[in-house]
Amino acid sequence: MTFLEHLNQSDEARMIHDTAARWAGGIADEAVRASNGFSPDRWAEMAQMGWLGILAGEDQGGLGMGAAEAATLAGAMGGAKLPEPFIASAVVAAGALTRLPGAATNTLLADIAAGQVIAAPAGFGLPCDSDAPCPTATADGDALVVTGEVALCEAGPATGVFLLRTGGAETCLVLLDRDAPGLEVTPYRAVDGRHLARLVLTQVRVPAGAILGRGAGAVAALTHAEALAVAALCADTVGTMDRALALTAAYLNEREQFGRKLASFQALRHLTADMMVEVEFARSMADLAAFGADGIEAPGELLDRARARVCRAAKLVGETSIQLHGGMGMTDEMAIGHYFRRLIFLQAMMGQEAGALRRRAATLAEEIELQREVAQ
Amino acid sequence: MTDHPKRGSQSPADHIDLLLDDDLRVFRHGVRAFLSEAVPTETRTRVDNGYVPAKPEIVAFLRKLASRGWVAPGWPREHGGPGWTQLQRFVFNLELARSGAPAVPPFGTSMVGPVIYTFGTDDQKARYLPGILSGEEFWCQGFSEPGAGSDLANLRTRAEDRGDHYLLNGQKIWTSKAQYADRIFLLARTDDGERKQHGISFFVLDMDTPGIEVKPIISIDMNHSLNEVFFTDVKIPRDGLVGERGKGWNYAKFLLGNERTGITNVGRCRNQIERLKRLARARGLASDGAFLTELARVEADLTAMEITEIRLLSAGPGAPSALTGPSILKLQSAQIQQTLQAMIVSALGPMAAARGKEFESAFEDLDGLSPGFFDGAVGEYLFGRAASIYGGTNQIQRDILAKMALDGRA
Repeated sequence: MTFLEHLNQSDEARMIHDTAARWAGGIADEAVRASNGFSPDRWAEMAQMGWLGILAGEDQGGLGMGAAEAATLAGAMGGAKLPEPFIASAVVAAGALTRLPGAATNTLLADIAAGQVIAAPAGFGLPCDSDAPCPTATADGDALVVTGEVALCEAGPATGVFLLRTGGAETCLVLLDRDAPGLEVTPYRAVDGRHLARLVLTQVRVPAGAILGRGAGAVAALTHAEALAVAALCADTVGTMDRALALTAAYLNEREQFGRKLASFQALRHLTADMMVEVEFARSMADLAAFGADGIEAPGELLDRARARVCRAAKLVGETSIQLHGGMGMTDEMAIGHYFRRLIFLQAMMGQEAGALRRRAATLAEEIELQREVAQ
Repeated sequence: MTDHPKRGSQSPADHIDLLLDDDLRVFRHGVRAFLSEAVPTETRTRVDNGYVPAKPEIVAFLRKLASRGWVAPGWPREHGGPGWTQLQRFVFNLELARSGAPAVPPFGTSMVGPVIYTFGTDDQKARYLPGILSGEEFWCQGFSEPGAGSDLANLRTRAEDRGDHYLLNGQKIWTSKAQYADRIFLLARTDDGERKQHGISFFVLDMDTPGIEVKPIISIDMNHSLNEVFFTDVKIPRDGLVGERGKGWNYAKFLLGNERTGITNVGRCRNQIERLKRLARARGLASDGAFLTELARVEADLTAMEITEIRLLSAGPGAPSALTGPSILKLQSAQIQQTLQAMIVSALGPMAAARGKEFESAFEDLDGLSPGFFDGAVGEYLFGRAASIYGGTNQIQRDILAKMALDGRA
């Protein structure tokens, strides 16, 4: 598929988009607040609509679709600021599993699609930085023994399994049950209210059957999962920003000062225009990321550009939307603050703008050194 | 000495190639191969260094383009254009700028040409279009006036109906290339309407008509490209009126809105990034973390602009609207171009202080670069400030966008 075809979605993709937009659009702010970080009912609805199996093949109980459709769903969830770990379980963990063929992964993918198991990626994808240190595995017969820590993992009380990246002699992807002996799960909350956890592993024994990928195979699955993570996070960010912009525009049209609507003041109008520009540029990069995750052999550099640019947009749109709400923007009562907090979470998961640019800055340094001596 | 890496049509595949289909890739390589032959090295060096090419260089290049029928890429076949799609035009503009070709003057090809073939008479088409397509006749644009800049409808230049002609009196300003132009298209008031947009008419006129006086405006880069044009009792023949009398405002809006491609100058920006790398090598900036991060950032910005332009041109279901898209691109392209120009000047170091011909002849080379690289960069930075002023200032673009977001209308 070319990028141009990618932009002109298939009918199937458009249907998913419309359904998701309608469904998410019907979820009220109060309902999201009341769910305290996770709603089993919403999760069941997502499963019922097939969304938790968006990436799994049809023989694995899924819809067999790609990054573009997964990103579409993530965008709709961003617009409703849903706290459920859709990206974590259905996109990043499931996306890695689709590249690790085997009986165990097929069963797991089907369970994830059905909403019966929630999987959390640990040490990759969320946040996007698979170069960071991760727990170390040592061989013990055909099993592995893993020790180490994952500081941030998007997991809550409902999370059943962890898909963990381990280092050591070779990179592996292993499946851990929540109650595995030696695994300590310490829960905490994200800035936007969702559930997170710190994982501490002390001599956790991983039997051969739970080692889902090793070496090159594991690395390929990780690379794919990270690409999906970027695509979904960028789309979620765009969905979140779309809503933040709409809320801000509505507020400016409602609130009056000096006897005029705020929407009549040029300084405020121009800040709104700047938000529009950022959202549209981010949407372009989200499209590029979804295309890259699906259609390009080695999209790493483009994905870095995408998350860098989307992070910048998220920062500007989030901060400006609060500014334009004035004092009311400082209250927890207004929904806008919740969108701002979600944008902070998403930037952190994308590695922040500066982090996303780091790899490119290094290759630029190499390219500069390679410039020929021009005077000769 | 040359400031350029080896050129040719063998440039490596880039991410734009990844976004195109096979036909567009083949098209792109064909354009690239043609341009690598058609642009003389000297011209390329001057253009790449930020200088504006002289008229003879432009004419020579336009003749080569004309031999392929490529002077007016946006025109439909029936009027002598190549009948390209929007995306072919995007690719063509990208390659045109990357090749270091002189910028094709937009006044005939992108501005007045489409107005004439859409609203003009058969006689007007026969008289004016061939000269534009051959690149032989240069046009200039008489829109802005001292009292009518961003508020263009406030214009005062008046064309009085005198039976067999219109009598033109008034003044235009910021008229680019009027000193070279063979003809001018202009807006003048023929009637007083209820609103100031009413009663404006669109005229075409030969520049050698008696009563026209062109006075240069020296711009902040100390060059002459801008002018004032004065009209004193100038007789416009009746067939100089284009379309209906009093409908000039509509034609002007058509003219400004119809040129959607080529507004972002993506190709030039990409060349600027390559120039920054050469400059960084010469000035030892490869280990300057702040510089590298800023370069990576502007590169990501440029990618976002390319994708946004492609989305707008492909007009798929998720494309930005035809109303907001052009303003978004205009704002960001001005900003990215200006950022790159400023980064280059900043990377020049102390020698950014120098300017002019004497400076150019005072040195053989500076850190391995020609003095022209330095001088041209400073000149381009200076004149580059215009990017956020012409064609609707950044503030006007924000006004347009805010209307859409806050008032729900265009």
